[in-house]
Amino acid sequence: MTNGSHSDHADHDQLAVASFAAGDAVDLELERARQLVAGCASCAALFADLQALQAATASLPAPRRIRDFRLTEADAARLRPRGWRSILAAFGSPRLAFTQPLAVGMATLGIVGLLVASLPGPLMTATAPASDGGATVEMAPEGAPAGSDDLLKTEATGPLASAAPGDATMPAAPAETPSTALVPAPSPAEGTAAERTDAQADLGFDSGTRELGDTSGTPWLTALSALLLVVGVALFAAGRLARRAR
Amino acid sequence: MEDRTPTPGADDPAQRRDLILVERARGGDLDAFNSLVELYQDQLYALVARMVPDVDQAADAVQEAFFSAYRKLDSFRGGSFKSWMSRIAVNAAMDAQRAKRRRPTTAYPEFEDESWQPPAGADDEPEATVVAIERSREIARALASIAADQRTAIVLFDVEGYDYAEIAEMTGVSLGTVKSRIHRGRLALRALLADRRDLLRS
Repeated sequence: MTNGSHSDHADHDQLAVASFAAGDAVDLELERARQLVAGCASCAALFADLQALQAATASLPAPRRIRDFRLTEADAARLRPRGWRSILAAFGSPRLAFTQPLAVGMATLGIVGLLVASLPGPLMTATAPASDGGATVEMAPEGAPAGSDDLLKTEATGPLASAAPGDATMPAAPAETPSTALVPAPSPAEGTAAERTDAQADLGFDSGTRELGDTSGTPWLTALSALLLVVGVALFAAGRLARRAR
Repeated sequence: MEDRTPTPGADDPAQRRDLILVERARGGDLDAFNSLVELYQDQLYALVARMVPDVDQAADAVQEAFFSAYRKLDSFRGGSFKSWMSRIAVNAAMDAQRAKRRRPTTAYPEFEDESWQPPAGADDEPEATVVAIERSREIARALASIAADQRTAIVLFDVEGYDYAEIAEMTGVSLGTVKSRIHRGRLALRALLADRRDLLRS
């Protein structure tokens, strides 16, 4: 047996010795640890200390309990609520944690929806998507004199479409203007407004040409937004109350 | 065909008693749950107090473990209630350790009290008893000073007697990591007790 110097021992694999002392070393690590313990006095001392430490740790006395941990009736009622409280408590569980961001999202959508529904007519018309059967514009035939009786008629056929009073007529604009760029003017081949109205009626669309500024198409948006807002706020409040109860 | 496979551990009287108490507690019998608390609170406090050296934090963690167990009684699927409860307590202790890292408190004043002293046997020689007390105190102090994950692994393996696989499952790390934590932890303990090696070998 050779006694390794202290500087040599510092280079030795102490983790392998620890693994050997615990009985976990296998194969190469086991071989290396055996050699170290056999050839280095410091490694041998480490091995002995670790085994003694393991035994001493295992026989540590149990710390004495400083408190009684039995539950009170109040604890029990809080931890396992019954009746409507159990439903409320479910919102505070980690499984339903997603309801809080969902509630915020619903309330935000509700507020935005209510704001959009209360917008004045022209803004609503501009925001109405053409694919929803939004505002369509009847153009005067080319060559018609500007300012003549053939004025643009704005026809609202979609639920979002509306216009403010006073915008019922406007001068004919060239086809390149933004309003006509957004909503292409129908060619004569596409039929008259009356024909389109009939077709829309066949398809189940609201066929009536509304008065501009008529917001009767938005109640569904208002109702839906209000519903989202109420449900969102209720969900958020339930989550907060449940978490406070925990 | 009726399944006649017995519930694992149903032959163990202690386990059968626990299952009956759990069933009654599930039905709203608080006294039944408190009977389980009385049965296991000493063991669980000892386990958690070794993992969380601050006695108040350890007590809070044990209380939280019992709260959690009562809340989650419906998720207990049979087997050993003690093992189930120990897992909850270990989780509560690890949460407390994480909280302690965020909010360090006074460094282990509890080792000045007598709660870590081993009981003196009638046949023990006074000198041996003094040495045992001193050794326990020094090891406890060193144990409280090493990294929390190493302490947890050592307590669960050396003191509580769990095997590597159980510790890996409890702490959510690999088997190799558990072994490494135990070995490194023991090396750290040995370094901390370098001046008191006489205590280890006595």
